[in-house]
Amino acid sequence: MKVLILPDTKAVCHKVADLISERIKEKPDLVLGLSPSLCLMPCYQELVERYRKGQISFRKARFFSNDEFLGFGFDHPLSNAYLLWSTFFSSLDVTTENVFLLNGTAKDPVAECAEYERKIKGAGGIDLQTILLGLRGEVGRNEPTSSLGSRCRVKTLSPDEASHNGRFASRECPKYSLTLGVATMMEAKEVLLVAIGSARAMAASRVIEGPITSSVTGSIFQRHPKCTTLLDEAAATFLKRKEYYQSTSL
Amino acid sequence: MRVIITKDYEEMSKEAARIVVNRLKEKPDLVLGLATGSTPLGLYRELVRIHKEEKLSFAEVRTFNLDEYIGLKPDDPASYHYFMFENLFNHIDVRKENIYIPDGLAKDPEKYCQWYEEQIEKAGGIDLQVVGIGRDGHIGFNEPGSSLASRTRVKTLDEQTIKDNARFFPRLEDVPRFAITMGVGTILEAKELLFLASGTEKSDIVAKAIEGPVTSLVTASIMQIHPKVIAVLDEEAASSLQRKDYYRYAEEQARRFEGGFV
Repeated sequence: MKVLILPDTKAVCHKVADLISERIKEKPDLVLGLSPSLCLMPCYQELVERYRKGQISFRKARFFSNDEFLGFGFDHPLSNAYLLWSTFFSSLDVTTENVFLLNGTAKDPVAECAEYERKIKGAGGIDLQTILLGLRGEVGRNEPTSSLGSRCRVKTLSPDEASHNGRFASRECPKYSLTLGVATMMEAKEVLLVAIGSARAMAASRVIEGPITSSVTGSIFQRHPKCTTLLDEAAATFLKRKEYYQSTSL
Repeated sequence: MRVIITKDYEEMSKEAARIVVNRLKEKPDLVLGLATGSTPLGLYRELVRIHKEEKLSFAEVRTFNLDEYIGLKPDDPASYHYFMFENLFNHIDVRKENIYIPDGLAKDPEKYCQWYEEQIEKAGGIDLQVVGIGRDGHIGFNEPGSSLASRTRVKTLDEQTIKDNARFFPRLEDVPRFAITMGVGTILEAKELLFLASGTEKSDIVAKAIEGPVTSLVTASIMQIHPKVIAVLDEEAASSLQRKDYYRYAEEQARRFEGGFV
């Protein structure tokens, strides 16, 4: 695992945007897995900036999303699909048919998840997967003790997780999520694992330096052949080998 | 991992039987992996009852047992052959030729273990494997330190295991020192695992296996990387789990979507 410690959120987002841009330049029809998190919006905004300056095109790129809330359709302002469209896709030259998002209002959510796996396979697998590390070290909505071999499926959200999810008033808190499985994400050819802020410092240290355990689903990425973890200073607080990572980041 | 917490041993056994019966109804020629010991006894009792009262047939089922002691004859009351026939096979309509239990008297154990693996493969792999856990965290007879990629082989038993199992033998010295066991890698290849545990003496090791690090010191912890595991525990065995409330909550919710929650 490559660990990059950067001064602040802005620097982290800049770096994520750099890496995505590089890969798209190498492979214009890149298959990009997107984390639909508010925290990562500055990364996506940075990409929008670069597109506006004519530095990059997304016309051939293909997109998948990590998760969606069950019962929240594309037109629901709190859905992940809406978030990604309104802040990202709509400002770019994406080809609509190349945007594959989980449908939170699918009649048969279990079948929707199986179909999503097939779509990923059909695209040749995810080339670059972005993941925002959860507060408990989870990836996607793979709650602690989710199987490390899981595939895309409907997952029950912890009630506490649902309630501290800032986007929702308690009344409309989603109970379930459609999420890529841990194994689905592990199959991506390259992974960018992002941790920002002191609230994620403990999670980051467990993921990077702790034992591999389903209690911290991100820890399995220690086994990924090409995973870069990007942290700001605050998220790197508890890393034991911080100095080593800093020396290799130069 | 899907974790179902039941009131007591009786409920654990019934819940486990319900899962086995469901799979059997979906696939009458189910390839069923079986375990021995006191934990699955209730499950077997329940299966026998359902076979007799509800006419559930095992005629097309193929079974593979996890392990057997080296040196015990099949008619030795302490052997797993004896256990399986006594507690399950003699009371259901499974065909003898469809029953596989490692042969503790095999002349060439190494070759035999390879043959056993081939039979699993020929059957199309195990659909549902019942597993228990030893107090030292073993799955099958894969004692602490066993390779997490191991295949069926001869394994030396741990002191703890020998002591724990002495109650099934006349004297401590009679407990065999070796066993043939499916490897951890073999068990992981089963399409689905049904993990049973009961009693307070298992609670700490259950918590380690389900929520602790994946480590060869607790070979059962490898279940965390399996895509489809259902753990059925009684209250006592579940008592040291940190995420008990979540499992209960998720289980309530999960009933709405069959099969999508692991």
